[in-house]
Amino acid sequence: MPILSALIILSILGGCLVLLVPASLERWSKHVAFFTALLIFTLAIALFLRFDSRAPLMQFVERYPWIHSSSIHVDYYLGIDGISLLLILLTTFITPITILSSWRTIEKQIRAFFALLLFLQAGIIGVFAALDLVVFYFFWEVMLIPMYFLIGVWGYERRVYAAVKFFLYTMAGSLLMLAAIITLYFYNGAVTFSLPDIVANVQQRSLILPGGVEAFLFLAFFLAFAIKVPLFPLHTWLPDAHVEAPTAGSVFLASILLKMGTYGLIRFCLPLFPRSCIKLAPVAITLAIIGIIYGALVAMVQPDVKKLIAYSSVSHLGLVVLGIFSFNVEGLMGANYQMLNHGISTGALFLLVGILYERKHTRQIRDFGGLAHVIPIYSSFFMITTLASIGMPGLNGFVGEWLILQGSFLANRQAAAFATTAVILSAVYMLWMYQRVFFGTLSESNRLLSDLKLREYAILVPLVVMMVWMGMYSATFLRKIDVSTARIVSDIDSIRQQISPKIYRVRR
Amino acid sequence: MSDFRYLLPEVILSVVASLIMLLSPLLDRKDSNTPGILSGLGLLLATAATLLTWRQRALGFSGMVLIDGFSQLSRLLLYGILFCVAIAAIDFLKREQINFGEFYALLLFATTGASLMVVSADLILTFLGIEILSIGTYVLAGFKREDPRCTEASLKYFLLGGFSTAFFLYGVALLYGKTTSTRYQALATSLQTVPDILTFTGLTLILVGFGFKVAMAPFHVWTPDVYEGAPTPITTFMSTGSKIAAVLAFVRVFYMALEGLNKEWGDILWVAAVLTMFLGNIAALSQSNIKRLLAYSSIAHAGYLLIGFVSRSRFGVEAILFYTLSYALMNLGAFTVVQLISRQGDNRVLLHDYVGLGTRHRWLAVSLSLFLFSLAGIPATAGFMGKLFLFSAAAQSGLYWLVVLAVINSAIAVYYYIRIIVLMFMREPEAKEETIRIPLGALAVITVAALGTLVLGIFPTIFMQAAEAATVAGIG
Repeated sequence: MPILSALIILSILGGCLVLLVPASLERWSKHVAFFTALLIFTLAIALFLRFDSRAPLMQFVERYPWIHSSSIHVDYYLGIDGISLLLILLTTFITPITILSSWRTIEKQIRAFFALLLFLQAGIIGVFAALDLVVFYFFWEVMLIPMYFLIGVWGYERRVYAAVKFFLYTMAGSLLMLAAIITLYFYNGAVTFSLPDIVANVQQRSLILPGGVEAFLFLAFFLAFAIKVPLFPLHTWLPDAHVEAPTAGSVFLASILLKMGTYGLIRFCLPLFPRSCIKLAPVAITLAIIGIIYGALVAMVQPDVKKLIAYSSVSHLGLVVLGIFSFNVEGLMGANYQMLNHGISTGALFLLVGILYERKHTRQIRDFGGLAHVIPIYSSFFMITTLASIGMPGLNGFVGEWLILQGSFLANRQAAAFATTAVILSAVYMLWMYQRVFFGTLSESNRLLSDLKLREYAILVPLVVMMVWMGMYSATFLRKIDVSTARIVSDIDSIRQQISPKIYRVRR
Repeated sequence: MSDFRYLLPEVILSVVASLIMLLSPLLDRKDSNTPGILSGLGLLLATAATLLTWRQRALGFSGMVLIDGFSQLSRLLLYGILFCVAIAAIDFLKREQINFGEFYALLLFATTGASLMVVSADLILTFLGIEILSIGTYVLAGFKREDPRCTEASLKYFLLGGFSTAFFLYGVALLYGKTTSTRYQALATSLQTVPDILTFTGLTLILVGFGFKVAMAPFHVWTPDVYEGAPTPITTFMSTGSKIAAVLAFVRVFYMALEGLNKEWGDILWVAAVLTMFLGNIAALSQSNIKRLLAYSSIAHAGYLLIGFVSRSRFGVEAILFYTLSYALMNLGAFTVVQLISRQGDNRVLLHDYVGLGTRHRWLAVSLSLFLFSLAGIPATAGFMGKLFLFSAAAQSGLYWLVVLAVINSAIAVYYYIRIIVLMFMREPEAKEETIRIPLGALAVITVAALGTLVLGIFPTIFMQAAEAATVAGIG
C-alpha cells in the first residue's frame, strides 16, 4: 500500500469531509476532524513499526512520472528515511492534540478551521516525505496557505500583521530556492529533479558546480531554511506569528513548522552542497550561537508568557543548527532528536499557556502568581514541561542537548563552550517565569481558577508520557535515525577528505 | 474558393456578427438574450469548424494563411476565452442598461481579428488582424457612452493604439523594403545574417506594435487607465483575449519570420521583460482600485510571458502557450468576480469594497482567493506551473539572472495579491451589505476557471502535451 500518499490524501479528504458537514451540524465537524487525525496517526504508527531501521536507503518509496514534457521531468517521488519518519510521526501525533485543544476556543467558521488544520497536516507530511525537489517545493509552499489563514482569521489582535509578515518572509526565502532548484536541474544535465539521484551525482563527483554557482545555490537553499528555522537575524517573524496565532496555530508553528527549516538543512543543504556547507559552517555556527544567546536573553525579559516561549524557540533551534553544522554523528543525531523534543515540549508549553488563557484571557506574567495553590495539577504539568524544555536529565530535552553539545565539542570547542550557556540561560528564564507565575502571592482574581478538565488531560498526558519515554528510553527513537544520520555524516566526511585530507586527520 | 475552408471559423464569426447587427434593431433592447446566445452559438460553431481541420497542416491563400497545430490550438484558446467573456457579460449588460446587440457583434468582430492574427503567415494579414481586433476593442472600451471615464478610456486607447499599429505597419514596410516580401517564410529565409540598420529599425518598430498590445514596458502606460475605465467585461476581454492573441501572433512572427534575428530581439526583450515585471509589480503595490491593480498585475504577467520569448527555445514557446492558458483562466475568474461585486455604474471596485467579503459571500471570496493565489504563483494552481515552466525555459537557455530577477518579482507580487485576501477574510465588514445575486453565466465562468486553475496546477501534463505538439507543428 502506498502508505505515504495515503497519509497525505487522507488528510486532504478528511479536510474536505469537514467542509462538507452541513451548517446545522457544524459542531460535529470537529469530531470528524479529530477522528480523521486519529486514523492518520494510527497509520503513521504502522509506518513506524514497519520501518526497517537497518536499511540505509529510502523506504516506502513511491515514484510515478508527474510532469513530463520534452524539457522537464518531475516525478511524484516520495520516500522516507529515519529522520523523516520521526518527523512525520511527530506531525501526526501533534495534529489530533491541536484539534482537541481547539475544541472550545474556536467560535467562528468552525468547519474551515478544522479543515485547514488537516490541510496543513497534509502539506507538512508532503514536505517530510518528498524526494523530488519540485514536489518538495510544491508542498513547502502549499502549506503556507492554511497557516496563513489560521493566523490571520483566528488569531489575536495583531493577527493580520503577523500573518502577512509570516507569509512574505517565507515566500521571499522560498522563491529564491525555486530559482536554485531550477538552476540545479539544468546544471545536473536536465534529467531529473530527484534528490537521491542528484546527491549520488554530487557524491560521485559527476556533478561539480562552478564555485560561484554552488555558493549561490547553497545560499538560496540556506536562506529559505534559515528563515523557517529561524536563524538570527531572520527570526523577527517568529515572535509575531507565534504570539498572534491561535493556540493550535502556535503549536503547529513551534512543534512542526520550524522543524521544516532544520529538516531542510539536513535533507537538502548537507548532501547537495557539502563543500559550501563545510566552507560556510563557521558563519552558520556563529549565527546559531548568536541566536542561542540572543533568544535566551530576550526571552528572559518578556512580560508575556507566550512571547517568552516564542523567543525560547529561537534559542533552542539555534542549538539544533549548531548540532547540524558540527558534521558528526553525535551532533546530527542530537539535532534530530532535539527537533522532536522541542516539538513536544514547546508544543506542550503553548498548549498550557492556551489553557490558562482560556480561563483568564491574559498571558501577562504579572497578572499571575501563586497559581500552584489553586491549580496544583496544572502547575505540575507545567513544571514537568518546563523541566523537559530546559533539559533536565530523565526527560527528553536532556538527551538531545547532551548529544548536540558532545557533537559540537568534538567539532569546535569554542562553539560548544558558548552553546553551553544556552542550557544555563534556559534554566534562568524558564524557572524564573515559573516562579513568578506559580509561586508567590496569589491575587484575589485568580482564586477561582479551575484545574484541568478531562479534555485537557487528554491533551497533556500523551505529551508528558512522551517526554518521559523519550528521556528514559531514547533508544526507541534513536535506533530509527541511527543509519540515516550515519549515512549523511559519512557522505560529508568523504567530501571533507577530498578537500583537505591533512586537517581532517588531525581533527580526528 | 476551396481555401475558404481554412478560414471557415473566421467566416462563421463574421457572418454571425453581421447577423446580430441586422437583428438587433428588431429586438427588445432591455432584456433580450438573443444576441448573447447567438454569439455563444457562433463561437461554438467556430470551434467546431476549427476541429474540422484539426491536425491538418496547410498553407492557404497563396501563403497568407497557415493552418497548423499552433494556429489551431491558438484559435481554440481564443474562442474558449471569448465564450466565457460573452456569457459572463449577459447580465452585466442588462444591469448597466447597455444591452445592445452591437456589443456582441463587435466582440465577435474583434474575435475574428484575433483569430486572423494567429492563423496569419503574412505580416499584412497580421496587421489586418490587429486592426480588426483593435477597432472592435476601441468601440467596446467606450461602450457606456454616458460615462466620461469610459469615453476617456476609449479615446486614450484609440489614440495610442493608432500610433502603435502605425509603428507596426512602418516596421512591416521597412522589412518589405529590405526583403521584398511580407510572407513569414520568405522573411525567415532572407533575414539570416547580421541585420543592417534598415532591418533593425523594422524589427524594433514591429516590436513596438506588439509591445503595445501585450502591455510591455515602456509601452504599457495606457493599460491601467483603459482597464479601469472600460466596462468590466471588456476589461476582461482586453486582459485575456486581446492580449493572448497578441502574444500568440508575437510568437509566430518572432519565432518564424524573424528567427534569424533572435540574438537582436532576444537582447531587447531581456531588458523589456525585466522592466515590465518591475514596473508592473511595483506600481501594483500602491493601487486602491482593484481594476487598476489587476491591470498592473497583467503588465507584470506580460513581463513573465516575455521571459518565454527571451529563452528563444522550443521550451520557451511551450511555456508561453501553457502560461497563456493559465493566465486566461485566472484572469477570467478574477475579473468575473470583480464584475459581480461591482454595482451599477461600475462602482464598488475599490479594494475597500472587498472588506469582509469572506463572511458575506464565502464562495465568491474563496474562488477569488484561488485566482489571486494562482496569479501570485503559489503551488497547486496553474499560475505556479506556468511560472515553473517559464523560469525553467529561461534557465535552460542559461538565463539564470533573468530567473533570479523574475523570482524577486514574484516575491514582490505576493504582497499585493494577499492584501486583497486579507481584506476579504481577516477584516470584519463594516455594514450589512445586500446579497449579490450570482447569474448563471458568471457562475459557470467562475466554476470553469477555478476548476481549470486547480487541474492545470496539479496535472499540468494534460495541457503541456498539447502545447508541445502545437510548438513542434508551429515552430518546428
